[in-house]
Amino acid sequence: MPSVPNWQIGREMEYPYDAPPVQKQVAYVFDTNKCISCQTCTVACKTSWTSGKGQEQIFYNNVETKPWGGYPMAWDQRLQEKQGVAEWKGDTLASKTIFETSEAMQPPTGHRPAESDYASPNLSEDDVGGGMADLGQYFNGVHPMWMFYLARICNHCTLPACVAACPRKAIYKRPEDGIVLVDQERCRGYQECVKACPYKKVFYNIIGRVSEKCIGCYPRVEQGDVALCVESCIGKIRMHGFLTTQGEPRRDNPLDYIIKIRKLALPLYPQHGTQPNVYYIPPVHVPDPYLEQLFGPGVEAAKDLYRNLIEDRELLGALLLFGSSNRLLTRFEVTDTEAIGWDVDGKEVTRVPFIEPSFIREAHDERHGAVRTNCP
Amino acid sequence: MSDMAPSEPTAPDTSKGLGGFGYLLAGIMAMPLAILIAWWGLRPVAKSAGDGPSQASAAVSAAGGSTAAAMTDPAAPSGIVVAKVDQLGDPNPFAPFWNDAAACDVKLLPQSMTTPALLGIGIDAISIRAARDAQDIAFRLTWTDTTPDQHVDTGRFCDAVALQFPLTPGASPMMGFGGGKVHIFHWKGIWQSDVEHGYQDDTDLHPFTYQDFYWFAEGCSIRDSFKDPRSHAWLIAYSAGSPMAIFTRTQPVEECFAAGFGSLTTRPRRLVRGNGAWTRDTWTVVIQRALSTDDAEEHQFDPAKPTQVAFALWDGAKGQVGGRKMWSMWNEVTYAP
Repeated sequence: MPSVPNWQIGREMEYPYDAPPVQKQVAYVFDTNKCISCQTCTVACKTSWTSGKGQEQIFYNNVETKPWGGYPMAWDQRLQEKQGVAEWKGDTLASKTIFETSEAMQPPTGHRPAESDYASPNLSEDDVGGGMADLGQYFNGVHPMWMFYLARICNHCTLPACVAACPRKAIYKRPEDGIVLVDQERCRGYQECVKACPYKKVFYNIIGRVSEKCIGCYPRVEQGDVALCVESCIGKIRMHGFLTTQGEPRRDNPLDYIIKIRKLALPLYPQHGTQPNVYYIPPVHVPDPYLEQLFGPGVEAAKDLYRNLIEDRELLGALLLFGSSNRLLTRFEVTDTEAIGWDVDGKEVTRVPFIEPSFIREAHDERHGAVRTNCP
Repeated sequence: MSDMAPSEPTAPDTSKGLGGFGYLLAGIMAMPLAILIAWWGLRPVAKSAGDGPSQASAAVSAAGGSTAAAMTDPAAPSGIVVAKVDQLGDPNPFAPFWNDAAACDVKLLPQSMTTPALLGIGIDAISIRAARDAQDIAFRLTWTDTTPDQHVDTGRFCDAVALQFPLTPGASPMMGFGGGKVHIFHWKGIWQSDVEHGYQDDTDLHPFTYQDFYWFAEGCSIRDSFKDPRSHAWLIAYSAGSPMAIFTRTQPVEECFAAGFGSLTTRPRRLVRGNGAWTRDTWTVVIQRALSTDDAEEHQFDPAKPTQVAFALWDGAKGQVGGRKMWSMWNEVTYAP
C-alpha cells in the first residue's frame, strides 16, 4: 500500500491510492461559536437534493448537538470504540489511522450503522455534557455544563475512506476541485462506503438501492457559487472556497489563510486519517480534552486566536467575509476599515466594514418640538 | 457506457504498482492455509474425453458429493451433465424433468483473493442440475439456507447466486482476473421478490412509514405513483439508469460481463430468465437462457462442446454482498446425448 503525506496528522500514512493532488481542493470553514442549530442549512439541502422517495433518512447536511447528539446515532463514538483514543506527540499522530488498523484484505476500519440508527435525525438535541447539575449550583463565570452545535456535511476528504473502500471504484474524487461523488450508474449498493466513511456521510438509498452522498453542490460550484447550505446559513457561520493544493498556501486566499496559515479552523477527527476538508473553529467554552479528540492538538491555540480576534485585524477581516456573498471567494484583502472579497472570476463581490455605518436618531425632534419614540 | 465490454474504472487503479503476480501472491498469502490446501484440491485440471473422474471431481466426491452416475459407474461422465429434455418451458424450479437430471455437488470456498475478502465461511456447498431442450439450457441450483433474505436496507442484504462462464480461453474463474473475460448470470432474492410482489417499497421494510407527498408524484407508492417525469428528479439512481433501480423488473436475473475484480458490468440485454423459490430451508433457483444468441460476444452453449461454469453464492443474513461471497473454481459441463 502506498505511503502518502497527511499534513493534518503530521506524518505519512498508508493509503490504497497514490493519486496526484487535485488541482484545488474544495473546503469549508464552520464557526461553531456562531451556530444556533436553526437547521436552515439542513432544510435547504434536504429540499434541494434529498426530498425524494428513498431519501427520507438521508441528510447530506445535518446539525447535531455535541457531546451526545449524532446522526446516525453515535456515528463517531462507535468508530472511536474500535480505534481507541487518539494519541498525539506534538502535532504528530502517534496512534493509527483507520487505514492502518484495518485487517488484511479488508477495507478501512469502520462500522455500518443499523437501519434504526437513522431513526432520529436530531437525537439528544440541546442535551448538555459536563455531568449532572448539583443542587444549588449557579453560574459563576464558567459554565460547568456545556454543549455546542456541530454542523456536518461530507468532508470531501483528500484521502477518502469511501473511495478506498469501494471495490468497484464507483466513488471518485474530481481532479478539478476535489469533490467526492458516487457514480449512481456504477454503484451496486454493497455499502462498503457506508461502513468505511468515518463521518457516516454516505447513505444507502433503499429505493435506488445504491449509495449516495453530499454532492458538494457541484452544479453551483462549477458556476462559482457557494453550496446551498452555505448560502442559506442565517448565522453566517460558513465560508466556502478552495484550499491551494498546487504550491504553497496563499495568504490572500481566505481558506488557506484561516486554515493553513493561521490554523484557526481545525479538521474534524483528523486521527482517522482521511484528511477531511470541513474545518471547524472550535467552541471556546468547551473543555479541551473533549475538543482535542474531535479536532486534534491545535484546539487551545485556535481558541486563543479566536479570543484575541479583536486585536487580529487580518484574521477578523477574513471572518467578516463569512456569509457576505453567494460567490465562492478565492481572494481577499483587509484594509483599515473593511474586508474585500473577490470571486472565482476575479470580480470584487463583497466589501464588509469592520464597523457598520450607524446613524444616531436624536430622541427629541427639534423641528417639531416632539419626543420621538422607537415604535415602528 | 458500452454494453459490450466491462467499463473502465473511474478512479485510480488500486493495483497500480502491484502487478498481477503481486496481487495473486498477496491474495494467496492472505489465505488461511487450510483453505489454500482445499483450494488446491479443487484447482481445475485439464481433462480429455475418456479420462476417469478428474482430480477436481474426485475432490468433490471426497467432500461428500458427485453425480449419482459417477458414484456408481466410474466410466460415466463426471461434473455437470446437461440432461436432454423435450421441453424446458418457463424456468420452473420444480418441473418434473429435474428428477431425471443428475445432481452435482460443488464445494464453495470463501473469496479471499481481493478486498473485501469474506471473513469466516458461508454456505459451502451447492447442488447443480442442468437440462436443455432444442433451444434453451437451464441450470437448477439448490442450497441450504435457513433464512430467505429477500430485502435490502442499510446493513441488510439479500441471498444471491451467480453462474459464470468463460468468454476467453483460460479465463480465471475469479471474475476473469488476470486478463480474461467472463459472462455472468446473476440471480438475487430481492429481484425474485420484485418480480413476484412488485418493487420493494419502504412500507415493505417499515410498515408504519408515512409520507405526506412526493413532488409531482400521484401518491407515495414507488410501484405506481411516479408516472410524471418531473417526479423522477429526486430518484437519482433511477434517472441515472442504474441497473439496481429497475422499478418494472420482469426477471430476477441479470447478465453481466467482467474482466477482473471490480469490473462487473450489467448488460442491458436481458435474454436470461430465472425463477427461484425458498422452501424448507432450501433455495431452489433456475437460471435459463437460449443455447445460442445472436451476439458473438456472449457465451454460447454448444451441445457438441463441453464448457465450464463457476458459481458464487451469497448468504444475505450473514452480510454477504459483492466480493464477500463463497465461490467455486471452474466445473466442467458436458451434455448428455
